[in-house]
Amino acid sequence: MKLAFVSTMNRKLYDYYGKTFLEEFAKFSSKEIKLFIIFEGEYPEEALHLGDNIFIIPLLSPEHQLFMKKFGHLEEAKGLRIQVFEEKGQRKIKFDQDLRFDAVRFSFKPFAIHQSLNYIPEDLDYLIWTDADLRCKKNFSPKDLIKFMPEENQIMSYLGRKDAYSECGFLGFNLKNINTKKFINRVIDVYHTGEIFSYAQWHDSFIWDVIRLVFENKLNLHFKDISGNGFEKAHVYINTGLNEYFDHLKGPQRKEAGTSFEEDYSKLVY
Amino acid sequence: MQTVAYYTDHYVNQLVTQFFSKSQNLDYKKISEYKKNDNIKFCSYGILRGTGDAINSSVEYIYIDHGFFKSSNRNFNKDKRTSINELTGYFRVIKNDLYFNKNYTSSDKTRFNNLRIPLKDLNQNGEFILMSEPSEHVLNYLKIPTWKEETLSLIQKYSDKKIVIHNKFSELSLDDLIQKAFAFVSCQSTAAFKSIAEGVPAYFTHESLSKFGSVKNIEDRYLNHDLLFAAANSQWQLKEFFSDEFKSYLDNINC
Repeated sequence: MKLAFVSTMNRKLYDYYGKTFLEEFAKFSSKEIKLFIIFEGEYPEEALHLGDNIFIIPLLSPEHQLFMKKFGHLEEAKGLRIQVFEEKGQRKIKFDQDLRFDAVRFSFKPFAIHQSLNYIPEDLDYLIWTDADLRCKKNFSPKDLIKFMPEENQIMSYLGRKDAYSECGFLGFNLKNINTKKFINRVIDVYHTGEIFSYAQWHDSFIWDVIRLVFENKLNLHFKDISGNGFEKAHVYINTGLNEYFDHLKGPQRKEAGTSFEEDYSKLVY
Repeated sequence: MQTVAYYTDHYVNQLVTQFFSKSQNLDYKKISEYKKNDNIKFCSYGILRGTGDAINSSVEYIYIDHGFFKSSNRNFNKDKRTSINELTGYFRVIKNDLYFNKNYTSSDKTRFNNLRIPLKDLNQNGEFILMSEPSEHVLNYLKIPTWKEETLSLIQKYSDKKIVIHNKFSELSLDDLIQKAFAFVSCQSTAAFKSIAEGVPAYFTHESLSKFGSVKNIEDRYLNHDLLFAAANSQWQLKEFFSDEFKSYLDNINC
């Protein structure tokens, strides 16, 4: 079984937590597991030497360029929300930033996954997307991760959450399934055509869910929810068994602390 | 002999050499660390930023550059800068030469056929000889500053056809010109391979390629398809660097 990881970061995120991730990945991953980093902007030269199984690839996506050319200049596509309301008889306008509508900020993940398909070895069975705010805790090999991978007839494994959009810090793509590339390409279409702006939220986790549900319900294709007991937990990632090998530093507080918190193992979604 | 891949400060060089070195478990060093050592086989991409000098001083080397067909999508701008949109195309991987393997030629058609490039019959209506000028970098590197004048004279020695000169900053596209060409002459241009596929015979002045088409035979108009098959067997996408087929190729060129 052959698998690789893909992630993305820019220099700011590399300095913040990305370098730690790469160093720990190099230390704990078995050497046959490759990690492809789609790097947005200039990367430090030292990144080339952090691991023999780590490949730094510049973000070179004509599709992402097209998306940015069409929509990248729009403040609304970067999360600006404008509300008109009445207060004490006065008509007021409120300008606010809302991450759920920051299509640009969260566009790098799907386009990085899409770009990586043209660079990864052709004989891979699985491609794992991971957010780069990941800590690696102990040695892992492909056989340790197989339980988190989709079955033969499934396109992707994901972390579903109760009454919320999925946690897309981890996605496991089945590269041997003929519908997987169609699924990824469909997500990319949603971005560069502008269809994304017709949905209730514009971040990638929401979009992966929207397209997954279409593939499941209309095309009768299959996916694997690997949340298990974590389904009802706010921090689903570390409640799925993935926490044996990894810790996902979700949100600014965990990134600052460099670890998830004890209550994350029990706290429910709501 | 140990092979060492060297990188420059250019991101394309870094990407290609990174894939080559890490896929083949080779040492990976910055070009500034290069020191002439006859026990080291030098490997890098391109001839700029110090790699050309290192190649010149190396007994053995592996040279990587854009492929003969379906190379990555590049735009040559008027300010003489090249912009790159993606790097998913093919790269040629050559031993002890910049342009073609001298000691390994495979004319197996499989990889060429996989490119799905149609081979047109000989163009019977060619109006002129299309002469493709090397880039300034190539002229300097190969020390052929008077290539244009010398090649014009050479062609005129063997043909009285009209000659049209093209370089990568010309207004007219090479693709359009090839459609009306009688023959294509270059030093070592990869556009020659496209020319042959389009039914226009190609001739070279560089010693590595002139055995596949010499200007003195320009009126013979022979479409050398074996050259295309051999070229397709010497070019690889980055994702193929991980494959057993690529490893076999490196064994075949004695890398």
